[in-house]
Amino acid sequence: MNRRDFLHLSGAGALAAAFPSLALSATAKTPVLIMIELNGGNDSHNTVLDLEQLGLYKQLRPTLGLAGDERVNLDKRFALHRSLEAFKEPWQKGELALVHGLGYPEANKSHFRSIEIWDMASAHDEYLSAGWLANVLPKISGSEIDALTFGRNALPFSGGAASHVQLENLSSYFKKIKGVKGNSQTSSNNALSHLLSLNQNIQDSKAALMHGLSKEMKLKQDFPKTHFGKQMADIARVVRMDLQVPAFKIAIGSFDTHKGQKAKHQQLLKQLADGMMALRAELVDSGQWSNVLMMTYSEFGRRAGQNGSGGSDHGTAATHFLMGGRVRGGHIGSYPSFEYLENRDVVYNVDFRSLYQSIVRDWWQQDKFVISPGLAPLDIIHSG
Amino acid sequence: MSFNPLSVKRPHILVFFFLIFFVSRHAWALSPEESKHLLLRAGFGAKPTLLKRLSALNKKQSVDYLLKAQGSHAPLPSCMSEALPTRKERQAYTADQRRVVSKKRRVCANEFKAWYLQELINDEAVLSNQMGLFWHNHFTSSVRKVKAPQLIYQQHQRINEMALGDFSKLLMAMVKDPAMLIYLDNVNNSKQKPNENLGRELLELFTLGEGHYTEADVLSAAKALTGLGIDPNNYTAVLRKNRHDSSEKQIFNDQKIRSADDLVYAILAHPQTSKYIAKAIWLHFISKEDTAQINRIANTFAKDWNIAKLVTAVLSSEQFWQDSGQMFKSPVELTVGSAQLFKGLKISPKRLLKMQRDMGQNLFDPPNVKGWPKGKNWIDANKLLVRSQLTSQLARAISANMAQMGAPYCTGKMTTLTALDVTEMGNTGNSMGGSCQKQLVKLVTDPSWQLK
Repeated sequence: MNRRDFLHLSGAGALAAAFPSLALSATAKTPVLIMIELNGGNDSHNTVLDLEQLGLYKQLRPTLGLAGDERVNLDKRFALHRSLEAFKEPWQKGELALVHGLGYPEANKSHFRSIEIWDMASAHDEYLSAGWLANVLPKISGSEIDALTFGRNALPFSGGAASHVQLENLSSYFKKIKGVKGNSQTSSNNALSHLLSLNQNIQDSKAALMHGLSKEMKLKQDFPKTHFGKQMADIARVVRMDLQVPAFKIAIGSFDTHKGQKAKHQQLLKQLADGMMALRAELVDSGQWSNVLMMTYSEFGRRAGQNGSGGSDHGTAATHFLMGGRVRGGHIGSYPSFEYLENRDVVYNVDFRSLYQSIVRDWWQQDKFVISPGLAPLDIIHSG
Repeated sequence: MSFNPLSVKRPHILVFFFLIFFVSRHAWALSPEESKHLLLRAGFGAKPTLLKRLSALNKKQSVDYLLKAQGSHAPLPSCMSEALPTRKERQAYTADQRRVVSKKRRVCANEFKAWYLQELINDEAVLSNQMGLFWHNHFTSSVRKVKAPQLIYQQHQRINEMALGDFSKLLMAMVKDPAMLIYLDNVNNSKQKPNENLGRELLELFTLGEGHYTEADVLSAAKALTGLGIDPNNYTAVLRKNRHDSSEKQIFNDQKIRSADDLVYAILAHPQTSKYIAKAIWLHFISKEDTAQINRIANTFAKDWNIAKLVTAVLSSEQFWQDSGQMFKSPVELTVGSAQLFKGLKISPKRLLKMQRDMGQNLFDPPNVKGWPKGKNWIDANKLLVRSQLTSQLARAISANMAQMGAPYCTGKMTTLTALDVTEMGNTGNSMGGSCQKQLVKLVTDPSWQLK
């Protein structure tokens, strides 16, 4: 369906709202991706532990390292930070994959540049103008609005054909867009045309979201009252509305724990786990869990060794999580070695663009869409 | 056939010079559009008093006038003069006292922000303030992390004194600034346990830019900065010898450094520094990059580090004068500019600060060390909505109080108020007919009001 045709169709949006089942059956369900940015650079060495390297780990992190009672075993070889204990359930059900050593060659340690590299899916020395999802989403989106970003950084969706909006939470967003009028102007002034296209995105989001929200969407789960938890609840609402929005992004942080890391990191990981588990429970309950994929990512991991301030400095490769009803659970890639460090950092072994390619290929069935040539995709999804 | 004045026979030369004189007298003063453009970029908006001043000056004189304008300062909130607790006092705090102290600090930080906002609205030294804000966004520190607003104020004073002064001195002052030492964890940077946060950001964001240094340079910079901390009682910067790594370190291939001073000198000797700063200031005032021009003014800048001269060069460039309406107003520019234009605007400082925050610019509290967004990153769909809330409120205020707010603008050309001549919009709804009230409302709610 062509996007402008859809606009005409959604003229009958009120009808779809009155008969939600009509809207449901009209289209196949678009698989949903929820990207969770661990903003600031998550210390993955203290998030997922390789117990076979415990000796070296303790040497590198004599005080920062997690003691026995600060971690929980996942299987014979790996342990999680205690805050992530709830992940054991999806792990045992085969709904959780740990992707180890995710990174890229010539890692950049600037927060700003490195997150840009991840969000644009570029090489370390390549400057692209569109996010990695900016041009693929319109191909699969069943909605006028292709992506919603809760909180900071909408780079993955920016600079291409995707129509997307950034918001803090649904209720304040709806309050604000109520009175916004369409604006059919065009302009040769770049700055002005940027404003006008944003205005058009707002119109798109209004068309797509407003009728879905005409009913108060009641959630079954109690979501955490944290900022992250409330935003996850909003994502759950939009997913449950079945609006066919294919991608969401949400950020939590700051994980930039140069100093006094332990307490801060413990809280952040707890918020992360509580939010993800609440969303999982909600979507299991609504029968949509097999249609949802959650992934964490971060600009970089942290240095292998602790620093002098009870924290850790910017590093390179990191372990990340994939969770969802059709995720092929287990370990992907191998945990980086603490023995072979390069400039005090662990060495990546899975290029993050392989992960992206797998999502595009296996999650959204866009075989022809190449994120970066020559990278082998991973086996992360099963057909259910 | 082209007219070549030099080929004209002698008796005509007088006529020729007379003509030049006559024509240039007319081209001399700034047009209202040019004054407006300069004030929107070099200041926060077309402040009526300044608009009047500039109307009699030419481009060079206008820039000089703005550079030399003297600031006037309102008294600081009284909480700012309270002494900070000594180490002994801090250690004796009970949990309850600690809560009270941190509450008081937050209240004081908010009073301090409101004070700064009023300064920006009332002070005639708009270019100095614009550059002060630029440096706050360059040498970022956040009151949220530093906690004591008094230390942020000291940093603010240093920045304001040197905003148009000598960059080499400003850089040295910022590297040793107590708020900075806390913000970027250098208080924890010691020979025994190095912390490279300040060292890294100094190279990446403050002076060279990403891609112009190696990881080894970061480590050397961090080592040179070891031991630079703060006195626990009087909160001044101190060098603790026993924590300082005074060994010789190599940086930028062949430079040898030991101390923080050496590090700053090595950075100043690096050819990239002047380019990085010149580019940042160029792009603060002009929407399009021009590498050749930037390199040219950077070369001059590297000779004397004179910021005022650099700003003059940028504001005198042809690119600057042809760039009208191509940039986005920052939240501070949008709010301060509106408050300057509409004197009767009764929006409390607290509310204006909240709006700035919602639009992404919390004074003295940038989101991270890179500072507030720039360019089109200021505005996404959500921020655009907050901005339109502000302009609707402005429009309501104008309608409710036309006598006071509209009066200065209901005579003469109103286009001097907005970056674009709204007739350019080609929308019949924007035609300049109708009552003055309607026109003003149209102006501030038009998308072009967001531009400068």
